[in-house]
Amino acid sequence: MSDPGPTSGPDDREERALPPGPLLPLSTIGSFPKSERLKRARADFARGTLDADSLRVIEREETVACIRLQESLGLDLLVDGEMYRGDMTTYFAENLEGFRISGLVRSYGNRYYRKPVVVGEVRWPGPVTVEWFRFAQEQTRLPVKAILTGPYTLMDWAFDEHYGSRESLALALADVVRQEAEALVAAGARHVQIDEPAISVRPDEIDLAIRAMHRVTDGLRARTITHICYGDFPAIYPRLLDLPVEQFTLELSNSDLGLLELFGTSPFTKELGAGVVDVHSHAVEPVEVVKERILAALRVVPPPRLYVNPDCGLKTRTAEESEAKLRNMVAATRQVRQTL
Amino acid sequence: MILASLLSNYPRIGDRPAEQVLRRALQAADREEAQRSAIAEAEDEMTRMAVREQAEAGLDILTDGQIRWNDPVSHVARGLSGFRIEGLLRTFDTNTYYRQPAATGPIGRERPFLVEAFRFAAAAAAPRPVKAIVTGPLTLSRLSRDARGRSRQHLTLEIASALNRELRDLEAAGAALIQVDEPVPAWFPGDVELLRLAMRRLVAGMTTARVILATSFGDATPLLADLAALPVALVGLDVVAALGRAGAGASQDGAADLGSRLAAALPPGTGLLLGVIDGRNTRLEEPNETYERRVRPILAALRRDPGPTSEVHLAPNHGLEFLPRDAARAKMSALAALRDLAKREFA
Repeated sequence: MSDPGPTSGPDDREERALPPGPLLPLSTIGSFPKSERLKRARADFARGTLDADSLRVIEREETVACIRLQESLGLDLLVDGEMYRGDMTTYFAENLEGFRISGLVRSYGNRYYRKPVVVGEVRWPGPVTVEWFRFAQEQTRLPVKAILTGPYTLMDWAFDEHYGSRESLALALADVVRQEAEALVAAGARHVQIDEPAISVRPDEIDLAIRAMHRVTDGLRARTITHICYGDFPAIYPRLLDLPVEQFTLELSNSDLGLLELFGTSPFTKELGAGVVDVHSHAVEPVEVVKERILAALRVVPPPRLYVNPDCGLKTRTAEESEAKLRNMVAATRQVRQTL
Repeated sequence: MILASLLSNYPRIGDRPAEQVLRRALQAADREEAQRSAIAEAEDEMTRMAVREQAEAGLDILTDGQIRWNDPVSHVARGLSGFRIEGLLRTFDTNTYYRQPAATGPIGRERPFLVEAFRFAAAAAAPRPVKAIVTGPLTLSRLSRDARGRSRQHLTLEIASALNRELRDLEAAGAALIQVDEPVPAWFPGDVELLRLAMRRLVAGMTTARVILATSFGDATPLLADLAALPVALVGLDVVAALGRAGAGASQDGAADLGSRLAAALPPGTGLLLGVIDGRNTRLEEPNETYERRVRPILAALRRDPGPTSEVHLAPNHGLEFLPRDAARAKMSALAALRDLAKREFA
């Protein structure tokens, strides 16, 4: 697919805006914890003792439960919870052409995953996540944010046995992700998040990551968001702001708000989805602590440009921890809203 | 002398149930269904498996696979006093993580923390030798933060003094070869003077053990003159990065040029650890082609230099933990084949 170019520019503000709602919209990064029942079903499916249709029924039920949970907690911009996804790159690799999946490798601690291996030309075989987006959106009147893994991260987190060039592979993947994003927009997605957590670790490749993102978002008729985490932000800031998206969701809690100091060196010009609860800690932050983090973020961006979310996806926490963290996040945000 | 070895770590998981005992033990302990001692037993078992697979592949010098390490930074910082272990950060340009240490008090070392694991691996590997591995002071200080507000130089030298005690204990425990992992110089070339000061402290008082300074995660050959002047027996280089990661495209000329630079820079008697197998990609090197492109031109240039032949360790350019176990095994076999080709021509 050729570069779409800037012809259908991001000019239709009305279509792209959130429905009128509260200040400091509450959202999440994408993944929610999988229940024991779902984990068992996925394991049974992997062993061949459960068929795909039965797994799908369970995944759908869990998706509905996840939507209900987000509604009841009081979130404003929902996600489908990724009940049908394993790892954020492997899931796409399993559903695109040109990949095989490796044996287990360690991510950190006692967590392991299967890594994509590029063995041929990567191609988009047709919609991958669209049916799940539609299903999730049918369950709620609140907007659902579509979540994709970005081309730079898909490239960086795969073993490349075919292209032999990081640039060629990243740009080929950008065309694939663009097609998926277009299909989501056609299905009604108004918010598309393109996760690029790998972007912050190779400052010398930030230009490549930006070029790849242009191929995904230029002229896309949706609000565009990216999520980046755990890396060397000082090395790529403020160049990072040239990523063609409207919002960055960033981890502020794990870094002790260190990122906010960085934004003092050069103004943060985008919308900020501030990560106000740490997803890698069992401890549930008290409302007061979360509130302080929100207020700290407000010193960097004005209220109309601030969203509130956890640092990262919640799938590494237990259901109880996630719910408690989100509950405090909502309570803290409501308290801050009253002061605005 | 041409030998084959791992650089450092080895997968602690595999796709077969027998290769997942450590994962299961940790999960059980998390759910409080097992004693912590079950974890140590599982670590022992996975270490024996890592040692056995290296021996079966025909490697000459083995490692313990660093099976017990959560990451290269916090494992060492936990063994020292004066650090608090904090949040997760990405390890260089990988999608693996380490917990960041924060220096909160004077850095010291109260009791040995690597010696027991070394003894265990050495017993499991006998009669093949095991090299002990420790993350170096510069890398530790660069990847930590100092909550006391002291300078990086201060922290680096404090760590070097503390680790010196560990190195001397490893030496006393019979480690004849101790590798100091310093990936940082390739990323922060400006740190090389600090590296010199730190290495002097780190190896002070050592008498029998030989030290390898291993760089990785990038091309450290621009610093060759400085690295060659360090008080170490062998210098380790990421040859894959030095010749361009494109790998298959690396030219013989590039390797010959690198060999000449090595021959010119290294004082007589200094050995080399050459990272010639890509430890970060599953694409398997074909031994004959890799030998011709990456290994032979370097060894030929080193031989032309008058003086004693350098000791050369052929190795992957990274720990193999980034790879799935089947790929790691295949890489070790390729490495042994490279060693055989090299010995046939240069031994």
